[in-house]
Amino acid sequence: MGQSRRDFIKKAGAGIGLFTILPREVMGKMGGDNKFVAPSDQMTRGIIGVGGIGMSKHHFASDERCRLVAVCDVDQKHLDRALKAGQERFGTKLQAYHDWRDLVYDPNVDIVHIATPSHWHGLMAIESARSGKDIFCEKPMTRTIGEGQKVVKAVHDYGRIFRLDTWFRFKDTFYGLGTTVEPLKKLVSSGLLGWPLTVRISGATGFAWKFYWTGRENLIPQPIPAELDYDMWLGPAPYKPYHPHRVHQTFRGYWDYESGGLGDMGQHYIDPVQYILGKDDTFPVKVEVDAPQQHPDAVGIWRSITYTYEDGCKIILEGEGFESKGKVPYIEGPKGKVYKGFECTIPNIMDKLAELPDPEPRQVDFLDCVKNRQHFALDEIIGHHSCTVVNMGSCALRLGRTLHFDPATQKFIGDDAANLLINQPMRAPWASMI
Amino acid sequence: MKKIISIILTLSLAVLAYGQDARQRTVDTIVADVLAQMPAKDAATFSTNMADIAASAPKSVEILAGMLEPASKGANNLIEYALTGVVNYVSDPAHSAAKEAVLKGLATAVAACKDNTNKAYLGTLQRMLGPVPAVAEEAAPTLKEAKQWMKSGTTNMMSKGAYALMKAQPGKIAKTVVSALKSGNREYANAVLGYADELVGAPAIASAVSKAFGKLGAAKVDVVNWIGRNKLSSLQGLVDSSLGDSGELGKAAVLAACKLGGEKNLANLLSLIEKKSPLAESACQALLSYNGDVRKGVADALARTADPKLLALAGARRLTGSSARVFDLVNNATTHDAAIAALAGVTTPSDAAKVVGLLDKAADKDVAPLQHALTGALHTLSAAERFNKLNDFLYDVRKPERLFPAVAQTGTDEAVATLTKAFADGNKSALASLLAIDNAKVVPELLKIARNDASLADQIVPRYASLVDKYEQNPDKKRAAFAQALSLAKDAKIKNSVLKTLGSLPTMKSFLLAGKYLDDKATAYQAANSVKQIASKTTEEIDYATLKNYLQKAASILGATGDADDGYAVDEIKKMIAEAEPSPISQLTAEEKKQGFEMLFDGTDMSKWQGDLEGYIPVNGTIYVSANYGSTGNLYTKKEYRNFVYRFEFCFLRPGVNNGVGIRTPMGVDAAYDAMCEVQILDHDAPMYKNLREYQVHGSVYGVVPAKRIVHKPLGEWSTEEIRVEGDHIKVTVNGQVIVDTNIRKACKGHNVAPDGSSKNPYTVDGKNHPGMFNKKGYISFCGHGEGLKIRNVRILDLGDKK
Repeated sequence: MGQSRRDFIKKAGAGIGLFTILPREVMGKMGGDNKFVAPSDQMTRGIIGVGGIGMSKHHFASDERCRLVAVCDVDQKHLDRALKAGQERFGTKLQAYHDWRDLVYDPNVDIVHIATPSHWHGLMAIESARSGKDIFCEKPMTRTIGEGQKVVKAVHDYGRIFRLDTWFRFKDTFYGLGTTVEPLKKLVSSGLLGWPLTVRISGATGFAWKFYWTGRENLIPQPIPAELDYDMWLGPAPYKPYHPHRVHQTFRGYWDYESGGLGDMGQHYIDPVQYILGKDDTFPVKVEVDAPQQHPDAVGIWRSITYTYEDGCKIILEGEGFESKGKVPYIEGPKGKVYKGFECTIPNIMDKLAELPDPEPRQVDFLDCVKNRQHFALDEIIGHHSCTVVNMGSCALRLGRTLHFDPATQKFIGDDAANLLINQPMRAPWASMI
Repeated sequence: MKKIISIILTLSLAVLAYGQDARQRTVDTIVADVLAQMPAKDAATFSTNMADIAASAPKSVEILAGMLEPASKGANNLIEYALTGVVNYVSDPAHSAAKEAVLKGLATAVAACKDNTNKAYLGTLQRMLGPVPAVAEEAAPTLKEAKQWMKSGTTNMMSKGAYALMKAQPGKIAKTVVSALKSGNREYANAVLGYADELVGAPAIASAVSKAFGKLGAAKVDVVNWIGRNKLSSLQGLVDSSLGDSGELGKAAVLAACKLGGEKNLANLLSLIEKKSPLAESACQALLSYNGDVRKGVADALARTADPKLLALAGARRLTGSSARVFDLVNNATTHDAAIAALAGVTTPSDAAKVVGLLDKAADKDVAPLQHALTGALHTLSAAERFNKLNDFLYDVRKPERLFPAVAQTGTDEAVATLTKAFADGNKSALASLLAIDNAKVVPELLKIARNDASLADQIVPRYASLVDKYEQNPDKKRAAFAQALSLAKDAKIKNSVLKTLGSLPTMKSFLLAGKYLDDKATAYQAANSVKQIASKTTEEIDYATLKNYLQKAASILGATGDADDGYAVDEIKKMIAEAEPSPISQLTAEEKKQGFEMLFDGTDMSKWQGDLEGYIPVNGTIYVSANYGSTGNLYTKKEYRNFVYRFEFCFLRPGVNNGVGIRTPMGVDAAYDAMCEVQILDHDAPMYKNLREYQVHGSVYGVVPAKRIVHKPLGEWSTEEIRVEGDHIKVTVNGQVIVDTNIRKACKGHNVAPDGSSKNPYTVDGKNHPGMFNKKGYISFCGHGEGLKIRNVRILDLGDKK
């Protein structure tokens, strides 16, 4: 992957359409304006995975801009519940699939919404791209760095539109920070804080790492419930005997499927930081961890994870219970600091920022992007970059050592074991699909 | 499991040997030492341990793998930590010397392993030390295939074909792009444009695209977008001409102009606004993100043209130099609203009087923006300066209430006083500003208003609760204020907002408070969330039965919504319940049973008690005393007793705990005087009691008989106490040591009150009257004096009238 690809992405990241200064309720909606939509302009969507997030009211939705037409799940109970909800809420008989490939190949589906555990995301996104579908993918984008690279390539080669579903880089006050990302972006780009910057993502700056997503060791195998196709649930992941804690709402606690609170929240928290720091086209060059030894199967807790970029910028994640004490800045530079709620050590900062242009407009309506073939404000490239930051962290946690990363080759430097974690083996038949 | 435990137990002593040179220990010992340290708590522990295992590989690896029980038993975690640990350790290039030995150990182990799951696990470990497999690159299609795909009519295949063709034949890129743009398939056209950018860069195809531009239909929009995102100033001409279009193309051109930047585009965009073009709104938006400084251009345009959009830009960019012009445009009907809105951005303190003048005369619809303008004009001053300025204005204007929001915004103590007074004087509109003020001093004022006028309660309560949350530091006072807020609120929505804030107060008592709202349908959902949040964050003990009861209720409430986040919450709750430990139940000893003792408090059951059941709460087998200082906070037995042996255990959680046992007491009196006596419970070792009188130390018959002074056990440790009361005789034993053994009638020579009827009694140690001293019967009580005491295992042997 040469430099030109990344440059292209950087340039293509913003497109025509809505401006970032529009009121937030206008942005990023799946639909909802009142104008009549001709059936030919109407898009259709299918959801793979209707357990947790796929059933949430934002996603299990259908309107005249985009109709929900199909759902897929390997748990018959989930599927039955979704069909019933489709009937009750939209008066529609949804097409139900057990095998996600059938949904992806369904010619009535325009957009594939991937809402499964993350060990499936890469495969499903790639196969969707090959099948000419546009893709709406839940975070974290992929479980490995290698899968992310392949998703980027597939979306690119087949000319698809991809959206990663986190949004704090363009709307909402993100978590405890009490501000949208835009004034932070403006402040950082202005250079008023100096350079390089350190960003602290911690309970002390308003972020929770959800350490309850830890796994359990010594799981004693349990009978597989009749409604669950466990082999299909595992898919590419290594076969391990069934235990209810592995699947559904607690799957994040196992390295085979995700990486605990880091995987759950990491991309939500780190993606806006990559935007703020202007790092959407690169990666940190070093990741250091301070953590108890990790179990090979069950994800544990950690004290801190520190990323360093080539220019000296840092992102420091502080684990729950290991936060810095006292008043801690969210962003700190040699010339100033900014705290929760956009409290800044630079006097009259708002007046100074008022003199500067707002950030470049970005395309934040996914359906418009699909219609006009424009890159979404958080597309596969940007998503892959921020997800790789998360995944670098989990590689370093699992190995328990500092890792060095080469942004150009997207490989760890001089560490075979770490590079093995970039492309992890998949079970047949899935290995041949990626 | 047994195997590991026994090794760890037998060798826990061997940990002492830890740190010795690994070579002096047998491999078995090394393995056992390491297992005792698994999982390593930090990197240093990890390295030392793994270095030992690695140095003794392959044997150590074989031993470890040999310890693996069948995976289905679920007993291998420590071995897994050790094996994965050593594999990770030697996979580090710095420690690769031992890699072959570890691999050898793994190979032997795999061959010997009978359990499939374990075998798979060991295989994973072998792979971790193997070579990195080359990632198979997808074979590029042949040119023939690529061309076939391009003709397939399926857009995604056409895209892939076009990419392959352009990559193989860079000379054909421009032609391919132009043909894609002309194809009428915008999805395809955009994909191909993107590929061209990547393969040769946008400038290389700029002239070909430019030549074809006139013949393109809808794809013109894509081209203009492409010009913008690549900042192709060489194609500025196409942008200029497209600005003449009033539809999609025009909008794309506006955006491209915004990204290209420069004087010319700025002039073009401003002119769209000044000419009131259909693209004026887009141009206005674009100028906010314009690639360059727009301030001078906007100011000049505003000076020439009276236009609402230019006013909006002037406000957003804080063009203070244009403030005179903006004030002028207030008087122009077409720009009036926009000018008023822009004042907030363009005014400075010297304009404040002018803004106040406008505000005083303003029509209702202009009031809010002018109030905003006033705040904007003053924002560079300090709070005190702002208040002083506003205070002066207050006397000059006809409608002072219009200045209240700005007054509140100063957040000063004077602002609280001014607004409180205004409200009290009947200016009801001051309330909104009182609710906006951010100052701890407003909290009691808000409470007063809400109590006096119930109709305002719902309006006030959310703000009251959020200010309490922000300013009150004492968790119990905070909890009490939330309880107050909850009782004042009428609307369920308001109650829920308070419950939400309560959720961030992680104390045992806030848990109990939130739990009370689980049963009301209107508050159940928020209460469930708060209960969960408190339980997950608190470090205080919560009684197991209550914890489980409330959490189970919360889980069923959250589980019923079907929402994803709620589902996660339910799982979290289940984990908390599983990890909580049931309350221990105290039991009478065999001997006590034989003697006829009765259990008064076994750890959970408060049914034999009455009085302050809010202050004395069963927590995990103990009565946790949280009665407030100075309150009546007493707990009484339900039965009255004459002669008895009373036994209990107590424990201090913080220094200086003060309580007492009331003997033969009536209800609701001060046991030290109106009961037979109060036997003191006191952490007299705390520094704050260094001047204590001897009749106040722990165990003393308060004011009458000093106890022998004991040294208390450390905080958190339990002591036993027995109080034996027979007739006038009282005997107190703490931790087996008798500290009081006396006849109190004799101690005061029969004069529990002064013989002369005065309030000074020369016969008692404290010189006070003790009128209840000769009570024949009464309740037994705990006399609360603040938090921090735990009591458990309370038993009594009722001796009735027996002497």
